Amino acid sequence: MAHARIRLAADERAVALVTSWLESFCNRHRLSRAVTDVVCLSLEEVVSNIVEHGYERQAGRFSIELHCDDRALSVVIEDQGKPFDPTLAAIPHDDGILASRREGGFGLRLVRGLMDDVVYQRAGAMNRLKLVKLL
Amino acid sequence: MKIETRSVYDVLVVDMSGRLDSMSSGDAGDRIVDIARGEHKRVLLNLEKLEYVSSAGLRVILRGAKLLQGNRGELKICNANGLVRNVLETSGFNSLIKVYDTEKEAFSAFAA
Repeated sequence: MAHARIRLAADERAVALVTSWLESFCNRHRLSRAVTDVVCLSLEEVVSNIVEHGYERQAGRFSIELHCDDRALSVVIEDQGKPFDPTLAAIPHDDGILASRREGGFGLRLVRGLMDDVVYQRAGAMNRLKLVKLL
Repeated sequence: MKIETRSVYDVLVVDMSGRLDSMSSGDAGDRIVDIARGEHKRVLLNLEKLEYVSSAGLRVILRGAKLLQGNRGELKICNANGLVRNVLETSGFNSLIKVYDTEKEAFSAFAA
């Protein structure tokens, strides 16, 4: 069972710091490229959301915990930004028409589609999101 | 992230390689907007060497495709592999912009 935790400022450097931290964890524990990439993608989406929408680019902090065993890699992200439940948030309907397609919604679809489990909890002032990728 | 262009008949092929993510999407976006506003109306993104694309990267491609369409042009995608193909399908992006297996198939579709 491997475990790691990081706590960072929710600013414009956050995504780069998180992705390189995740990459080294995955390399250290010999996780496949495929698993590393999809978890990295999901974390990029979640952390960008926290910076841009959760804290609306104001000062704030968030933490990420990784747990890995033979069965799965689990990621728990906690922040105190605006409440946001990615398991329920509406995704723009796609009618296949390019001209009218808004730019948002791809990230949410990716997180829900690439992870095996996505669980959201609002505890007091805290958003707590758990992502699970089976190995 | 590297973007190279080559002209094949009247199609501008854009070879993208590396990672198109939140960190690289600013510069890549500027380049794609320049290409979309350029003289070529038919643009083909060849993603064979693209290793990673996040939603920030998809938004950049979407912006380019819309600009081109507004200019009576068209953008198509080909040769997406592994993770990139998975992202295009999972995000539903392939329902907005046609994705072809090979350059040849994309060229034929432009000509049709």
